[in-house]
Amino acid sequence: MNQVVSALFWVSLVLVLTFITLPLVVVMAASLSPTAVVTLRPWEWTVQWYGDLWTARWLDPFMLSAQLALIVSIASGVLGLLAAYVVAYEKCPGHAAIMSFLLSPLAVPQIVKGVAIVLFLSSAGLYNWLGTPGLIAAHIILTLPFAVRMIATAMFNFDKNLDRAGQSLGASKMDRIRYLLLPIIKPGVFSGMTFAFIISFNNIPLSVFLVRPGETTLPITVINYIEYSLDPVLAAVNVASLLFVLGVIFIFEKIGGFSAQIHGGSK
Amino acid sequence: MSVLALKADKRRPHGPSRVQQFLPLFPPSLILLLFFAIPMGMMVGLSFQQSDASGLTLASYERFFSDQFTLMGMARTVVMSGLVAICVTIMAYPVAYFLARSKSRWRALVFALAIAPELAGVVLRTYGWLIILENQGFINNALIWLGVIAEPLPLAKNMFGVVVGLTHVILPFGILSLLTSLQGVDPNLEKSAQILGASRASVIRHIVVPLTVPGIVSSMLLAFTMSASAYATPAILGGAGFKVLATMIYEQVLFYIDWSFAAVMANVLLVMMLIVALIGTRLEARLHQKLHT
Amino acid sequence: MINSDIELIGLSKNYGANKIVRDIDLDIPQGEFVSILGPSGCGKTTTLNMIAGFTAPTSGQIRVRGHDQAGVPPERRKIGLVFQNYALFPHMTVGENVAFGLKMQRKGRAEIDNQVEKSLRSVHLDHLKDRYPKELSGGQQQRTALARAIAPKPSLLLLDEPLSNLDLKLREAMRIELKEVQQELGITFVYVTHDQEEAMAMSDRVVVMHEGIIAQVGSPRAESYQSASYPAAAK
Repeated sequence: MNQVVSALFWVSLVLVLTFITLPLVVVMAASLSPTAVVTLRPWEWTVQWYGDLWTARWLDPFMLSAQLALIVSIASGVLGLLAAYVVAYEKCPGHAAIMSFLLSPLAVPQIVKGVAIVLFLSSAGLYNWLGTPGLIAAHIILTLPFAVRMIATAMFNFDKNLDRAGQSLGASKMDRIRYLLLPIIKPGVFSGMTFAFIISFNNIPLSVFLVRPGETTLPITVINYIEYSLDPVLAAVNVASLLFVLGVIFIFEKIGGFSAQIHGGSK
Repeated sequence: MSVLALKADKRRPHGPSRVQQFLPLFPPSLILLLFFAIPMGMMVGLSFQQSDASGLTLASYERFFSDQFTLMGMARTVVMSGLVAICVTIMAYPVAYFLARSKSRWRALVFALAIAPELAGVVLRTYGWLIILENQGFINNALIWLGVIAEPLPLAKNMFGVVVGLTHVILPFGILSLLTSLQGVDPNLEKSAQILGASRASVIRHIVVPLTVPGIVSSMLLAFTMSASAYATPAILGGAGFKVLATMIYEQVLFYIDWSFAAVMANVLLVMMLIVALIGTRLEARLHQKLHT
Repeated sequence: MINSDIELIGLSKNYGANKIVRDIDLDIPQGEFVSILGPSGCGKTTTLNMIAGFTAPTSGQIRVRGHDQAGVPPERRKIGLVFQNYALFPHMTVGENVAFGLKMQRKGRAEIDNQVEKSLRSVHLDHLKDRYPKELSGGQQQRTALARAIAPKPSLLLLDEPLSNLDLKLREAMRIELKEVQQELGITFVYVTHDQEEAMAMSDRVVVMHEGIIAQVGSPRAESYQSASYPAAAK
């Protein structure tokens, strides 16, 4: 009986893991297949579809998405830092309520936030905000709460005794922020920024309301293309953008060092 | 004299003034106000207005709740999200259990496999399922080649395809949510039950599952809310006829340009989310109380 | 009065109706090793925090070398501080930790290096300059904290139960070392502890606090229960 349960457990685990990896493997195979029929015979594989990516059709949306994600990530980092500083470090009066306000966009589905922003911009007559400026604003609303939460957690974990130690050694407030607080919470800031980058780069539900001809993000370009064709270039686009995201994570990790956590506690 | 000076000073000995203290909050709050709070207020207001009438009216809501088409869309949203919630939780459980208990070197690999797809984005994964499930897709081609079926099975462009796609998208969140809950269960409880002669199956049924009910509930609620507001997966894997609230909202804004009706749909979706969240927090509080007294 | 390092004059601290420190007076001459002894909640840590400047007194005065400290922020009091949990900067090496105070005084590179070297030598840590705190043992962390506090040459060092996280053996060894450092540098030490033995072993004077007041002040040498088993005290 115990063996049966054990066997069932391992079989279900393997099945679920197969389910998780299957679409990724299939997309990778598709991006290398010569025709729209996916082949798992590696000797037939070709990289021709990746060559087709170097056209304005894919490069322009890619550049827009990458720039957008970078701007959104930096803005979320800076704004998140400011907000978290007051709420989590200074613990200003009413910090719990302010934190709820800062996190409130999380309670609203993206599609609803998207409608609200597009209706607001149109009713306010800000038509030229549709496109890139609107995308930036909308994505910041989406990513800022995550950044605030991650940076605030890092600041909550910051040992206040370090601050006192700094003070007793003659460090002014600016000195303490610069030499103690910021270096210690840096991993938290960078994980928030990385998160913001990925969310922005892959976003659909907000972008779908704000793109316009000539200013379309990569994921929206891809879903528009899926509507009428499933040729393997789509697979190549998807794999290439996944590789790009992994590269960005790698770079952010190198700068921010958030996975190693070498700067753990003081004890 | 200095005693007086000290008295005036006692609240915050050397801190900055109140205004200075709140100053850094200004930029983030302004952005949230301008692009979130005000638009949300405006949208709610808009749902009570009609372009051809002045004053507040419930007309758009009446239209929503009397229209077969929108009601069907809402029902479809609920059914789809419910199915995804069940699938996600059932599939996430063994993975989370393995991650919570295993000390083997495979643990890191399983963790990476479980979480990594999140980096790939919804488009890649949905596209992957499309080429697996569609009529000339991976599965149908294989089954026809094997002679199991003669005609392709309708796996995509319907509820089945959407549920598969959404389950895949949301599964990592379910795993993480159950993992937290399972890590809170002392492994010694399971060991002592086994020493007392309980079989593996009854340990899981009578110890592990009951103790992780709060995790199961929160995983289901999370999966439900994420599915109900998902846009891309139903749009791609559901096909043109598959309408849920999210895709209907999109059409109202960009094709019919009926803002008031779009606002109504968005508000209905929002209220649905809030109700689910409220039930969730109530339920979790009650379960927590039950388990920890 | 001229050689008083710290004077506490009618010092009190209330949190609401809760009187933590009640009207205490204390005079500590330059170069003395004073222990403030008492159970937790007796007000000793609050007193320390008031001297350091982290807590404003409700009433009374704190004078350091004759100057009233009211309104002087901690970073300008030039008082060294050693914490119970060491509070070492985790992202800096031992050397950088010790250099921090001098860097904040905007001292020159050569002077900083020289002083860091000297402070580390006096706590026997000169060989671990490039290690990070988490690579050190508890005793080594404690010594780093001490070196960091003495590097900027404060005239007064406050120590808040600095040995309570160490095991017994190490604690006894560190007592001797602390006393040696204190005598070598001629710094005034205000040492807060709940451990009577520790207070007796090191101090020139023991101040016993109880429920916010000074219950007793005395020299450990005069105490009848002093024992020869405490080498530092016997010295």
